[in-house]
Amino acid sequence: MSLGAHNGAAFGATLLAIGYLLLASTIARDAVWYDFVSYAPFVALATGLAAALWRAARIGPRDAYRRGFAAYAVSFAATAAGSIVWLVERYVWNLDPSYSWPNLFYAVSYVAAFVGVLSFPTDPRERSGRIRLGLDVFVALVAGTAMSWVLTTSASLSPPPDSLRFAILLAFPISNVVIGACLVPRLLSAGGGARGQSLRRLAAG
Amino acid sequence: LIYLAGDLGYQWGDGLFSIEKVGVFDVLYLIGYVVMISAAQLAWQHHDAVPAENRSRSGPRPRNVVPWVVAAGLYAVLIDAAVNGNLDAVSTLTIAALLVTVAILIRGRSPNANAFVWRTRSDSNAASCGCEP
Repeated sequence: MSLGAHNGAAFGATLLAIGYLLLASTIARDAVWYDFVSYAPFVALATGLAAALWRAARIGPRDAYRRGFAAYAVSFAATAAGSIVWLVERYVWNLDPSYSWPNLFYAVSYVAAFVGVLSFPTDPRERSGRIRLGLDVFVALVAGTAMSWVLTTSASLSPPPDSLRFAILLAFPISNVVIGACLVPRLLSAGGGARGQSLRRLAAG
Repeated sequence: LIYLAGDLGYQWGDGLFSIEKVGVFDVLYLIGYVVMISAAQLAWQHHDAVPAENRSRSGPRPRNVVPWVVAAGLYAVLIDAAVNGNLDAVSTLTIAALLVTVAILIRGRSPNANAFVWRTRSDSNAASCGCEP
């Protein structure tokens, strides 16, 4: 399948998924099981993504890309498992899952994603290229931290919650910003070739 | 990055921006998932024969717009905070904007700012003539 066909298929799949969500929200907007209907595509996509990444991690030479894809597969498998536990806690056990077991799976997911990001290669050859990549990471880190603090974190920490909630509330934005900052040099320095293209696309996604 | 943007947006204002009951940030999640699935599919279908550690780079890289996009987002949030009189946020965002602006200025003035692309093109020329760079 050519790159153009890939882009077309990805675009079509995104439109289909958005259409499904809009349709579900129109038909079942007041139903008790609406969350189930709206959550299902995300669990399915996380599972499908983990399977696709695992498949990509088992082909080609044993190199940094394969290690990165494998870690990412573990990360999204943990995301899917966490989402399933979240649904079970919410709808089967009637508990509030916000500060409960699903966060353990999400923690595994973030750690694996971080390992995956660090596994992918970044090797600008020139010193000036390394300096520029470092500055790009700095820009992403500072801007991401400031925006997430102002928009999400400071509001959710007021009034101060207990220590477990405090840790969980802080963990999500901090993990997002750190992983985002580590992704930037991978996105910018991925080389040519199919793996370089796929890494660029993975980092963008 | 799209997925992470969706995650941060979800924590920021789930339900603030929605059509019917579908949040804008759900759409970012969906796009992120589909883009990553297509990346994995691409890697599976067109895998390289040579390990990454032994492979020289080839092909020009795209122009780097990520720092500019991030900086524009930061300035947009700063302007929004200033217009809405959120002084606590303005002070934090001003310091961040100052640091980001200085970093972007240094980055633009670093020697051989375009060396990345230039060297890559020479590599691809060398590859096409069969000689090592």
